Amino acid sequence: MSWEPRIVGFLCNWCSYAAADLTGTSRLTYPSNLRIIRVMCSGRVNPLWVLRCFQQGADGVFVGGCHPGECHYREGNYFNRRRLKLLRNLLEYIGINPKRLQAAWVSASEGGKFAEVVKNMVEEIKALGPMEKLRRE
Amino acid sequence: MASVEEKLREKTGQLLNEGKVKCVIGYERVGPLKARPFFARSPADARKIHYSLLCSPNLAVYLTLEEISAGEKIGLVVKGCDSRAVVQLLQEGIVDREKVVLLGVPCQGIIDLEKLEDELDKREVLLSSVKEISIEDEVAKVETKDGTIQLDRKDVVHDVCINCQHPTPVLHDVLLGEEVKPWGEENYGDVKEIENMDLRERWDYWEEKFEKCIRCYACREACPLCYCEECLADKTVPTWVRKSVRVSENGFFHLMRTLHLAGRCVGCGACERSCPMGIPLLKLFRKMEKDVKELFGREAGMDVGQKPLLATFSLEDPEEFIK
Amino acid sequence: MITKVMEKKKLQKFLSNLCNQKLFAPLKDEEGKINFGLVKDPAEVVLEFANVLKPVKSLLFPQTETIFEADEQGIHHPEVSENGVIFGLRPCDAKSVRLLRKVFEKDYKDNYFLQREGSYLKIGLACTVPGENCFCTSFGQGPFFNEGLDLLLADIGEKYYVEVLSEKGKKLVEENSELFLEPTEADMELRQIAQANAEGKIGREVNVKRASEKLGQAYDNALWDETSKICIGCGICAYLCPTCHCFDMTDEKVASRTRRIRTWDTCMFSYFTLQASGHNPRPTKKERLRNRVYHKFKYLLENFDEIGCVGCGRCLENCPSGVNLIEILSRVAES
Repeated sequence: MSWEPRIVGFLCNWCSYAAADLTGTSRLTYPSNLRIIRVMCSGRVNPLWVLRCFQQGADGVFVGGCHPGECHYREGNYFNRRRLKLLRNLLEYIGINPKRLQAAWVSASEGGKFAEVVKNMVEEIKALGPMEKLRRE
Repeated sequence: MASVEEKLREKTGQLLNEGKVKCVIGYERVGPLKARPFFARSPADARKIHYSLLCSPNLAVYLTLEEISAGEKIGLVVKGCDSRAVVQLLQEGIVDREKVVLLGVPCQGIIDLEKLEDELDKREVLLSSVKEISIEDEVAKVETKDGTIQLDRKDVVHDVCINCQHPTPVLHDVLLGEEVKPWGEENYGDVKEIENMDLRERWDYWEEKFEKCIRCYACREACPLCYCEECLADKTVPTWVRKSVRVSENGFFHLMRTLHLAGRCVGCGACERSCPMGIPLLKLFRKMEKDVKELFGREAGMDVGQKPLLATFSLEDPEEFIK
Repeated sequence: MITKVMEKKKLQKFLSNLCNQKLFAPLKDEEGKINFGLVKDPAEVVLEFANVLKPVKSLLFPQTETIFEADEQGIHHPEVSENGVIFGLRPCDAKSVRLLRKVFEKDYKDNYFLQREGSYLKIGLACTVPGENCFCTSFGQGPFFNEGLDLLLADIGEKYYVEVLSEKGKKLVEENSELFLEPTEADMELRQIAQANAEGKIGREVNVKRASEKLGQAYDNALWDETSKICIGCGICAYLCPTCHCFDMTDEKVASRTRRIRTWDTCMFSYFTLQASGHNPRPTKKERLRNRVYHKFKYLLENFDEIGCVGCGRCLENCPSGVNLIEILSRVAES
């Protein structure tokens, strides 16, 4: 059995998690490499969780949030946007391919977009190979 | 004209004599090439206060480390970067401005003994023969037992001091010297050195550095902005960082500190200077400093009224990476 | 005692031979720091240095040590014997092993330390030029002290004077007999001179005996409050100390295995004595610094008949705040 990437996805309850649900009910398929963790808002995502995912064996991390202006909590996704940008830059700075941390604004009605985004991410991570840096041994 | 040190001693003596402060935290000289923090409590102590290019630690750290009893007013000697750390602490509501008297001293840079030794080696002079060092404009005058040598300032001060943009304290109750202007533009050459490497080289570089770390936490303890009563690195419930000293845990610790200091670090370099293993920590913190400046137009430790970086946002924040 | 000499030009060959047996010797890293490392190329071994940064305890009592691993198949104990050679040990580091051994063999025999330590052959390098912060002579030792070593090499100019101090050392010399010669009268004299010179160069001194005795009455002395004020509470002094040996035990999970590990710990961290109730009997730096000095200069003496210090000077050289143990001991001695 060839290697399959494992990607952890932090999906915000109101938009991207609902979108993932819609993808399923619409009978659209998307790769099962994504392990979903539901959070109430993308603003809840602690950058340290991303590092922890890599330590525990994830090959990629995905963060899904509401479109700017549509956050259920008004501004959570704006805070997340700043944090993620700095985190991504820092990861790239120490030699971790930024493609391993991806994010998307996916509203609850965008089931198709969700599937597309995940499909693309899995393809990209497959091309990069397993993530070994920072892995706990 | 009185030197900065003389003025500092006088002011310290005055504050202590008049009972205006319980103590003054400054530096004392303990060797020809060594100075260390010093708590002056009496007028006699005031005479021991020292100020020179050897004054390496950031004294603002004592504002949060020291068990300064409630109601006690203290004096604090601050260089340019130290004063910015105090501003940042004020921004975050950690320090009561009324309880600290800031004795500002303009700074010519902190001597990097390793760089100095290299320069002296080239001239076959021993580091142990050095008696005094002073800097004026861009020239470092090194007095040894056998004469005076002139060196380029850039070759004897710490790399981070070379293009310091705030050598004169930005906040002070009294300034005990002439204002010092920056010597050049900040070019983040140390950060660009890493940015010019490809991903593979970058990881090889940082993996080697993380491997060296012995988790003594000197970097964290020396930093004035690391003041959490319980650091995430020490918490066991939950365990953020394991006790094992390995690349994955050390890397996590340093990346965590870098993220927690993004937009807060003032680039004083106390962390890197305290690291016994010589890990180039500033390269991490200054990367954040550079990005924060370029992406969000912000600088730490300048404006007491500024809202914290990550507790604010702009509708125009970059999001080109978000699908 | 068997003594030999080795011409300096033969050293590389000696080191090269030792490489076959897993050689740890002083190597310089990217940051210019000198530490014991596994030698691949003997030409990289550093010979001009005051002392390695991390003391020899880092090889004998690793900072992170696996005690056992457990998985579905059962419990697996790691191999602890290294069967290696350590070259370039300074006499102070060599002597530090004496205390460590006493601690790890009292009551419970800690084979992780004892077996590992016993599996190394130790070749010392006498300090012909002591570091500026060294004060080993204050402990009745010196830069040419030979305890705890299998061989001691001393630089006498064109040659190394070699003291053969154990059966293991004797065997090694026999295996490399073509590299060793008999010492001449001149060699022996040079050795005496080198030792006297080195001892004369030790610049720092403290009356350890008096300080140790006075500790009994110095508990409430103001000096503890004064000297601890500048301490920032990191772990540099304890981690770089050759004799400090406190450790913590934790379990970690990796995939389907659980691993019990032992890691260095230090009484200088604020939570070292933090109890589950929240009470901390050493709540401030004053109590912690005082305790460290008492432990090393009084309690260890009472429990093991050993002072917990070898005068290497690493703590005062590397302390970011300038806390100076010699200064503290002097103040205690004069109190």
